[in-house]
Amino acid sequence: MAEAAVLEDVGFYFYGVVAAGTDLAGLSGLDEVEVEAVEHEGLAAVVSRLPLQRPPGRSAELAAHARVVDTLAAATTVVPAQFGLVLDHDIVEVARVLEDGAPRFQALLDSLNGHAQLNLRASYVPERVLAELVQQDPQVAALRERTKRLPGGTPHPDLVRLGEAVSRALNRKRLEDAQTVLDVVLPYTAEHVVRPGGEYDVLDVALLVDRERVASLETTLEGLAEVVHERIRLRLVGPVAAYDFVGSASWG
Amino acid sequence: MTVQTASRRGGGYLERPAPSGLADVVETILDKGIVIDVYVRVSLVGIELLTVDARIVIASVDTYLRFAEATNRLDLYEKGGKDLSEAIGDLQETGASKKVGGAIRGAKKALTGSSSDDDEDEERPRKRSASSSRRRESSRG
Repeated sequence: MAEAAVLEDVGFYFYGVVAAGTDLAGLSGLDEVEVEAVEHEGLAAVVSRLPLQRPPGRSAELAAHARVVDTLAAATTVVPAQFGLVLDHDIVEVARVLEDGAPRFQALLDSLNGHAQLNLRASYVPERVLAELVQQDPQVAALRERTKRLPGGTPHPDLVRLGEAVSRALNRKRLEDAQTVLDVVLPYTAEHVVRPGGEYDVLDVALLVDRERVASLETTLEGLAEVVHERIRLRLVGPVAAYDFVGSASWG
Repeated sequence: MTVQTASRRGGGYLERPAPSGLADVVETILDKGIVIDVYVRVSLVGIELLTVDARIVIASVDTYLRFAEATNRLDLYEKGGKDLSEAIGDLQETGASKKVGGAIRGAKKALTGSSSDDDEDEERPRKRSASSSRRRESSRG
């Protein structure tokens, strides 16, 4: 590790925390700079150097952050840091961050050990679910009959009523279908966080899964996707680092 | 949030995109992860976010009008020679909603195995149809 000299104008971009001794060879981060470990008390902060006067970033930084953290997560347990943290002191300060947070980091590493996050999104096929609503909800059907010859572009009150009825019926359907999907996946998961979904989403959920069980979860979801594919599409992303399971605090 | 090319593994129905697309990265990591106590001076690298759409369902007139428009657009199906009841296939009967829900419930039963629980290992092809087993094998490629 580098000497403890104060490096003017150089900051340390902070990706997250892993166990000391984790192999980081060949891993590059922002601006393709190699990442390095700053170790302290059995923990290692994963950082890379960057000029502090650097112009503001773009999506490439986000991609680099994700690449580093997810590459680590594929091989070991990592406590991911929030995007955009730069320590603008010398490297000793990085170690001090570890010292300060040691109990918390260690507890997180322990609790995440052997687990990975997968993000599951189930979305309705819009035409299909809307057709179901027309079929099943007399109010929707009636309002649709009344409004379908209306000229476009005018927010006729009946159009608003139709949309409202569709929205209500869709929410009812969503609750039921989301619970059904959850019932299928939760036996495979240690923890889960339901996230806000889009208009036609049934469910958007982050799953913390024992690595040993990822393959069987995938198999189950593949089977579910096959059965429901005409009305619901399932999309599974990951394994990624356990971003949704390390707690999060906003900048005060 | 639709441009992601979904790489479907082995022709399966479960979409398995790599987590590297920008939209996924934004959704996955933004505002998540640990923050550190900031007696050390910390700065945030700025970022231009191009594609974060509000993924929250807000009940607004706009939303309603979008739903209404989409619902009324459905008669494209009818004019295209396919009538609505045909478009939704076997759901037109009286027990439609039960049937729809039942599809997943049936899947659930078949997939989780009603008697055995999740402590099984990953090789658990019982109660699966031949076609889905085949699919699973080919998806291993």
